[in-house]
This record gives sequence, structure tokens and C-alpha cells, in this order.
Amino acid sequence: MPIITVEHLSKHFKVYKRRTGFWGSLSSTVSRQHDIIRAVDDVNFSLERGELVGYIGANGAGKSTTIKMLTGILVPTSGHIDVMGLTPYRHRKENTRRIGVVFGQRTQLWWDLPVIDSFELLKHIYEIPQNLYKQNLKFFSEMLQLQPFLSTPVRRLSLGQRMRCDLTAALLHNPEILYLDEPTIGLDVVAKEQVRQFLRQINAERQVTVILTTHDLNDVEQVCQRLIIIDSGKIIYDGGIDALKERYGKTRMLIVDLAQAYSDIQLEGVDLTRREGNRIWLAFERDTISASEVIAQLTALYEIQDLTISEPEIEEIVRRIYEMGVG
Amino acid sequence: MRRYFKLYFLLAGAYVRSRLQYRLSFGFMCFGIIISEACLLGLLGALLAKFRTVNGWTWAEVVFLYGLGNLSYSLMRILGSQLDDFDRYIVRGELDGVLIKPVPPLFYLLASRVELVHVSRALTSVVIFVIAFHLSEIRWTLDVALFTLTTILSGTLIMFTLMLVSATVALWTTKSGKLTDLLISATKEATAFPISIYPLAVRVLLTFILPVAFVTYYPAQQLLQKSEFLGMPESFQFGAPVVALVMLCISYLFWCSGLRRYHSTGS
Repeated sequence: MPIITVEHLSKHFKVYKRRTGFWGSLSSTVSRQHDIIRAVDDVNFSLERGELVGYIGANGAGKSTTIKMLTGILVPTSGHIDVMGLTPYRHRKENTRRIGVVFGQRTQLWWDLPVIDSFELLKHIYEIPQNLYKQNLKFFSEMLQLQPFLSTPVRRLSLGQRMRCDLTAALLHNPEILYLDEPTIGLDVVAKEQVRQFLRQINAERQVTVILTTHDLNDVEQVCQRLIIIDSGKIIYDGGIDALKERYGKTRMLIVDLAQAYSDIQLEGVDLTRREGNRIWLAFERDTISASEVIAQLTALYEIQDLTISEPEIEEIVRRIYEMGVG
Repeated sequence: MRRYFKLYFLLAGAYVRSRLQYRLSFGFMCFGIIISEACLLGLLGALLAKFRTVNGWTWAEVVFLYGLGNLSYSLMRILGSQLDDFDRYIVRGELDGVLIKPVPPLFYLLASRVELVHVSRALTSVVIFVIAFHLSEIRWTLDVALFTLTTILSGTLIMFTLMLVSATVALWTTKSGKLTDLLISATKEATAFPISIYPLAVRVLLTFILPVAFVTYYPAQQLLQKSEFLGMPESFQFGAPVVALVMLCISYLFWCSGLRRYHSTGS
């Protein structure tokens, strides 16, 4: 029994055209023409309890719109959403009690008050029983080392500290699902790692189902088991990360420093994709030719100083999918 | 119900504590409000000293209207300041944060901003009102006290509903700050003078469309023992609570439809 089922979900927005100039704006107030933006277009997926899913896409691809529909903020234009047996926009209040939401760009904490005050307020807003609250607060402040700044006003926290507090705030009422909209945006490497570690841990220890949207594919690679890629409102990939690499990550890259600038480089089964001075980038397919064969060809013809092989990064794969679509 | 009372005080308390982090600015705001109230009252006094009466209303009676209107106004500002710049919530996407809480959105919004700065305004109005009450030689009885209290509360509600309507407009247009300012300052000024000074069209507007005449003018007929109804039914002097309730229903329904619209567009 999936915890979230999304069927034929669409969200269309009307965007009114504004004509320029005085007469233009006058006539557009009288007769308004509009374009329809299909922010989310016939999307289907389902999540099992305890899954950790990365939901990625370029800006404006429809990530946030999907999250807003799942959390009950937006009503779908058409289609069906089932979250733990509830329809989020229709059962907004019941749904909010069972989910946690973190917006990376906006804090849900009381800006001028000590961190602990925000937690206390949330205790009352979500009607969390005192013992559960105590227990959870202890758990999270140990795990995320919140103790040193629990009585510091939120506005004086660093971004990383604030994100740790926001995560706690979203989880105090023991939600079954946690939605994160770009939770690592703007964080430094150490803070990002802390957030990722934390997400893995609550998923493993508390069976919280996690959906996160992100631009940082390292988040996805290190945290998620499953990846959903959305582009122009449509899902273009849904599956495991390894499977994605397997399917689209066959192209490897050999970076070679040559001893001199050879004018013409011709190798069999290899594409010269880039050239900078004496350094060349050679792309080849895993299936057709092995690295040692390429190197053998090279050394036979040219004098080489140094070389490295780079395996396809998920970043690269996703970029290619965005650019070319799914082949 | 008890839960909401408690939650209201907790959220309001959190806002007040946040504000008190900046004591100096809080103090300056209070001071500024008192000064501006004093100036307005001085202006009113100067005008009346020159003209003696306004359409048959004495100096004391006009100050009475002013004090009454201002009391309702300051209560509305204390409790409903969130709606002042509600469009900010939409522009910055903060309304989403409200919609993911297991609490009715309007309740949450109002509770999380109770503006104690306006207590300074309320206190000045109380002083003005008590003086005007005394000057108008109204006898204090239980009936008068109850009527006055009902009038002030109804007036607060009527002004609040106007504010709610203009804030709700932002759910369609994203911006409504100017409309709110205009509506609120215009109606506030309108409560300070007897509406008999205005032409018929304006009187109709202030009675039926933006019914702020029920905040001061009609109830004052009863309190000041006047009978200047300008062709309107005499029962209007008791009409304030009814108008307040009707307005509350209309504006709340409007708010709900605004939220539905937000739910479907997200802007």
C-alpha cells in the first residue's frame, strides 16, 4: 500500500498577456488574452512508506508546484492525489498534522525569538503531548547538536544552524512524511553533509518518508535511493540512481595531456570533444571500446605526458537529459 | 475553543516578545502615535473654535464622535494589524507557511500579530472619550455603559471587516496595500464628523456600502439624545451590532473565496 499515490496530476496556470503601451494596457484590461502554462502535466508516481526520493528539475520545471499540491497548498487542475488516504487540499488540516515541510529559502521559525520558543509554540500549534515533545526535542538536539544555541534568537544563527533548527521544527510532531524544498541551498560543504547525514538517519531510524527537491545533485546521490526527474511539467525519469547511470552514463571521458600540440587527432571509436592547448578530452562508449584500448591507440600515435579517466557524474548525466530529453 | 484561546495568547505573546526586542523603536512608535493624535485633536479644536459648531453639533459632540471612532479604530489596529500589509505575505510566499499549519489560516494570521503599539492610541482615545462624555453631560447608567461598550465593539468589527475585505483583494491582485491605506484612513476620517456635512451620495455610501456611519454617527444619536436621521430609519441608532455581524459574514465569505482562489493559483 503506497503512502503517496499521484495519478494523472496536472496543474495549469493562466497567465494573462499584457500588451505594451497605453492603448495596449487599456485594451488588455478590456479583453484579456491568456496563455496556459502547464506547470505540472499528467504526472504519475507512487511512493512506498520509508522511501527517500529526490525530486529534481530545472527552475520552473514543476517541482515546487508538485510539492505545493502534495502539501495541500495548491488544488490540482485535474488528477488525483492520495496521501495516507487523504486528499491534501480537501483535508488540509488533517494532512498538515501528519506531514513536515521545510522550505530551504524561508524559515518557519520565529525570527526574533530564541530557538526553543519556536519549538514550544509548535508544540501548541500541533498539540504535541508533553512527553513526546520532550523526547523528540532531546532526540533532535542530540543528533543535530542544537544545545549550544537553543536559547539564541533565530536571526543570529548561521544558515547551517538555522537549517538544523528548521529540520527539527518540521519533525517535532512526528510526521510520517517530510517534504523538503531545497534544504541545502546556500549551505557550506560541512553543513550540507550534516543535513544529508541527518536525512539518512531519520529515514532509517524513524521510517520517515522523505521527498526532497534540490539543485545539488550530490544531495540526491548521497541521500536518495530513487530519483524522479521532471522537466516542463512532465516526469522524464523515475527510478534508481544506479539504473540511471547504467542507462545514460555509458560515456566515459579520457583527459590527456599531450607532449606537443598535434594538429590532427584521429582515433577509432573515440570523439574529441574539447581541446585546450595540449590538453584534449576524448569521449568513448563503455560498450564499444575499453579504456586500455583507447590508451593503446593513443600511445602508438602520440607522445603522452599524463592522463586521467573520468566516470560520468550524475550531474553530467542529468544535464544531458535536460538538454536532449530521454533517448 | 479553549485550545484556540490559549493558542491565540501564545502566538500573540510571541509577537509581542519579538517586538520588545527592539524597545527603542517600540517606544518611538508609541510616542509618534500619541503626538500625531494630539496634533489631530488640536486641529479639530482649532477648527471648531473658529466655527463654534459643525452643522448644529457642538465642539464637545464632535470630540465625542472623534473619541468614539478612534477607540474602535485603535482596537481594530491592535487586533487586526496583520491585515495592514497582508499583501507582503503573498508577495514573499509566506502564506504557504501558514497553510501548512493545522490551524485556520485567518486565526493564525491574526493571532500572530497583535500590535501593542496601538495601545498608546487606545489610551489617548479613552482620555478624549471620557472628557467628551463628561462635556456632553451624558448620565452614566448601566444601560448607557452597555450601549457604549456594544457600540465600540461593533465599530471595531465594522472597521475590521473593511480591512479584511481590502486585504483579501490581495489574494487576486497580489498587491492591495494602497487600497487598504486609502479605505482605512478615509473611513477613519469619516467617523470623526457628523455625516450630515456630506452630500446625500456620500451619506448613502457611508451607510450602506462602507457602513462606518454605524461606528459613530448613528449610535451617537442615542447617546447624545439627538434625532438627526436625515431620512434614514430611526432604528439605525441601534443598528451597529447587526451591521457588524452582517459585514463579518460577508467579509469572511469573501476571504474564504480569496483563499480558494489562492489555492488554485498560488499567487
